Amino acid sequence: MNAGQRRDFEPIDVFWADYVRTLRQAAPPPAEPRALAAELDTLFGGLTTHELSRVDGLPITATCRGCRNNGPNRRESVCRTHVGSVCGTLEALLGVPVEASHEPGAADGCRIQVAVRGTAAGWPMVAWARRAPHVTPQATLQGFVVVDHARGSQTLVNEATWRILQEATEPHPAAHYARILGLAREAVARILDECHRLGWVHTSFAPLSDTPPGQPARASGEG
Amino acid sequence: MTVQAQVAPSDEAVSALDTRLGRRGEFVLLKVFVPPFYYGSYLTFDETGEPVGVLSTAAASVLRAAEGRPARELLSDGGQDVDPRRLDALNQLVDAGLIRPMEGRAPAAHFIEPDQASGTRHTGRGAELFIRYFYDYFGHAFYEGSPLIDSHGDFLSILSSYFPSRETPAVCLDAGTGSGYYATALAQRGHHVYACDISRTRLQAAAAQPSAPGTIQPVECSLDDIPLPDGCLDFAMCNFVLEHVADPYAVTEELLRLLRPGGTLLLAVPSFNVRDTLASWLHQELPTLNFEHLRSYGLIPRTHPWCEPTLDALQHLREHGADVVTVQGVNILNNLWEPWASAFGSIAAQLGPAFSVTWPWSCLGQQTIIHGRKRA
Repeated sequence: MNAGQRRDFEPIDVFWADYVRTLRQAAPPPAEPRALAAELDTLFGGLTTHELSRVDGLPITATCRGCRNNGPNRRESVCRTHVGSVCGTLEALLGVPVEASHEPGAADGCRIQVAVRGTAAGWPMVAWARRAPHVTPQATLQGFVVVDHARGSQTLVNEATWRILQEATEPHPAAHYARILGLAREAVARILDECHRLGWVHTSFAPLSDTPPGQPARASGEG
Repeated sequence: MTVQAQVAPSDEAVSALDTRLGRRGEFVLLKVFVPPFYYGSYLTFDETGEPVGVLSTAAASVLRAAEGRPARELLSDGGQDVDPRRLDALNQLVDAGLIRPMEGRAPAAHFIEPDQASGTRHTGRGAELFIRYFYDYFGHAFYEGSPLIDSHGDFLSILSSYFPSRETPAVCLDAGTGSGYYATALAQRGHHVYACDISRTRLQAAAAQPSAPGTIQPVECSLDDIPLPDGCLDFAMCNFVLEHVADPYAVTEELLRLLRPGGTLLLAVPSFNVRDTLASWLHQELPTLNFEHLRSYGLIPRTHPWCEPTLDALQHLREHGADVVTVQGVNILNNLWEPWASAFGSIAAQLGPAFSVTWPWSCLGQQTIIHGRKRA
């Protein structure tokens, strides 16, 4: 929702997007949908429960069920606070300004549809993960090990993690690792989240294309 | 309507600049200090208690001046020339529907901001409206477990050392109980606890907490006007609440009214620690507060626009019938950089456990706990 220079009047949802993004930039949210939904649940306490369609591509749909505000006395300001905070969280994760449309629902919950700001129809964005330079995956007699030269530590990991880190000498999206290693995409996303948390991979978000982030991107149709 | 200003004004622009403008309704504006985007901006509530958005300093200044005066007066800030910054702000306020053409007197605007005369103490209708609007809104958006309202950390282990003994059931009060975390801890030690809060949604959560063998009695009220008789309490606590209320001195006076002679008062407040204070002195770095904080405590006045001197709070307690037993600083040296950390660390090592309760360090904790007793 942020657009660089501040306006003299910012609606309440824009304020919350900025505030939450600023809070979350120091500790980026997880990129795995269920983990991120759990974090959003926590941010609002027992207001509602979230379900996210995906976070490795746009548009993202967040469905909120059992919302305490979704009744006859619904307060629009609460919805706008909620939508703004969801946008701020996703902006901290994606590193790009987003905008959201909000559709209050009845029995099946409310839907928040998030797209990258200023692009038509939701420009596809995916997480690209690359192994950090201070990390070396090694196969030893004891098993698969990740050597973290910055921490001076060695950590036993499962084979899937080791294989992903072996492959991650260049940035690739989760779908790429899943395809070439024959792993489920959800499992790859969870592993990359954990590696991201440990500082073993660097993650950036960019349009899905055959060009890594930082280089001119060509949009492709891959989902 | 768009207000225009041109070098050679057209008839339409002249007409717009002569239009009298006023606020659409009554507004309450809280000055927030959240860098980098909202430093000195104003979180704004309308007359129905709904938050409408955030105004820049320029926009707040225009809104303040919109008393049914011609647009050109709002734009010139006392001079003759139209200030383009204020013109932009005015047009955005008109677009957002906060200002409109108006004859006669405009509804009031209440500004909650640091004040030269009264520091961070706010009284009057604006303060009353703000507390009611803000916590009603916040209580409907954030529920128990949210880090924005329930960030207890390990504070219970520190605070519980000041709690009344389990052996002697006491009548206690948890002022600004929120979801009832500390009220529950007191009740589970066998005490009867009045759990007070201005937010009904918060109180419903507090009332649902398991309290045996004690009891929790929710009381919906403003903390400066608690419907209980004089001298009815053995113990009163107010944990990370005084930074949120309009007038913290009115709250502590109310707690002292309710305590019996010899009763215990326990206040916990956020504070600027050694690092924050040095950073403001040496680097003019402004410590960040949560946007919903109206103040933080500190040893040195003006460490932050919302800095309330801790010594003033202690003096006020003494003047209103309490003895200050201890002042304890928590996380005094957190995030302090070298070589200061080593220098202060050696002082802490020499003093041992006394460090956290020795002035001035006790007033320079990231959190400060004030333990008082009502005089007989």
